[in-house]
Amino acid sequence: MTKLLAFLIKIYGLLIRLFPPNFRAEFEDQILQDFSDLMNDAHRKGKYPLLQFCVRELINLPINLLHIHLKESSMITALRSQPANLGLRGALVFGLSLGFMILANGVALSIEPRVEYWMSGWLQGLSIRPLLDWTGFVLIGLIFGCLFAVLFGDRSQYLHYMLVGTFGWLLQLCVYNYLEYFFNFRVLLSAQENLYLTNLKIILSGAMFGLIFTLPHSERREVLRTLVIYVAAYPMLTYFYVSMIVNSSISNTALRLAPLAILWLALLGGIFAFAWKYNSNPEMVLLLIAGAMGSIVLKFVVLLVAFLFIPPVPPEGFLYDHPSFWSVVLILTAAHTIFGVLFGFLLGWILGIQKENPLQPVAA
Amino acid sequence: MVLIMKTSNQPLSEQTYFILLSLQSEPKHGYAIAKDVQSLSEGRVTLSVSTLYTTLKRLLDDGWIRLLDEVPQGPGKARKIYEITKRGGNVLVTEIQRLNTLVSAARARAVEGIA
Repeated sequence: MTKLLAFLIKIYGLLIRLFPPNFRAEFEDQILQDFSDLMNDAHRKGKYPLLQFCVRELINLPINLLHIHLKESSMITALRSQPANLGLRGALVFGLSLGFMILANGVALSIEPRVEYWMSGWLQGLSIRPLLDWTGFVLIGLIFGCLFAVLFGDRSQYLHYMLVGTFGWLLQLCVYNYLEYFFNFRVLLSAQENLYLTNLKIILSGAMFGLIFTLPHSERREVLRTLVIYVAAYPMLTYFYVSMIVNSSISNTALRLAPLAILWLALLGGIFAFAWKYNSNPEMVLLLIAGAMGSIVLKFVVLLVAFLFIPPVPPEGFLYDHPSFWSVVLILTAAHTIFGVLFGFLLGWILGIQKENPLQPVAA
Repeated sequence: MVLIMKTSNQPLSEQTYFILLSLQSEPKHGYAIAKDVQSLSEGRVTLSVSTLYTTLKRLLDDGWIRLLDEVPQGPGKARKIYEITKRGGNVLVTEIQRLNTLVSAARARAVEGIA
């Protein structure tokens, strides 16, 4: 029980970091001490009073947070003025953008067949689906970049943050979607192999998100240029490498996952090398590892819960005219928003620790 | 054009009323205020820690209370003691008078259940 109380105090200690810096400077120690004393009092009275105490604190905290932030200044200004509060900013960046991405994806999926149908005469059988998809990806990348800049960036470097956010988003999206787009791995590989590959892609994309958080803080100017080269090179190299595998005899054997795992390792290694080159801070490695592992663990948990609410998936998937299409889109939007908030908070929190203990930056 | 201006601090919220009432008797730190408010209100008002300090912050900003002292409580820890100011005392007295008027009016009409 003592462990539980210590854990609750720790959690509350993290939560009160969401208060504005001035308020924290004045009351943080007092709040923690009183929280601990009052919680111990409630604990002495029994389990029910302790539960009552926790629920009361949990309900009142967000209301008081909002009250203080609105009183001190606007919420966004408050967020932007707090260099130590990167966890909250990270959570907002990812929560909003991932939720938006899923919702936008649902809208695009419902619109695309109609647009294709309207334009079929003019296109004479050509499919514009990939074009529509990639236009959507780029637009969502831009929105992610803007959110990343506004919520996470230094005011003097908004453009830099926006471009890093946009290209970083596209980098993870390119590799993530590439295999399915050009090689239709869902059909080519067995269900088990697809599951392995999907998990590896989630880990890779988590590490790439860690990279997005790391790069803008680098003092080096050529970061953006290298990022653009990566965005172009990664899909191209992946394409040629996977073409080679698909056209070779190994694709029909049980060993076909091995060269894909090697590719995955190479891509992941490239991300670490990239980050290390421009921000050779040992804690940067922690950020990338947290991104990679946090991505797979949090996604697994959140999607596990989400799938409790999703009806059985039909063999053709939830097409846009399926009666459950929109409810599935909304459930996935909520799930990805929650995942994004948790994942963003993790990365922002780690980055916050790094910023509180800065090492010497690499010279330009 | 109608201008609506807030000219009075009344009525006070229950939390504010009980915090001022608690500090009226003697200066206290946050924990003691929280316990006293619960006792004064006979368990009806229980302040969460965040509500307590959000309210204390507002009262400090408004000049109704002030920081009196910091008392050491073990290594690296200190409790801040707050006391009510003259202004805060006036606000409290005005509120008590207002409540009295309300109760007197009810008594004058001999509302059932009011002594």
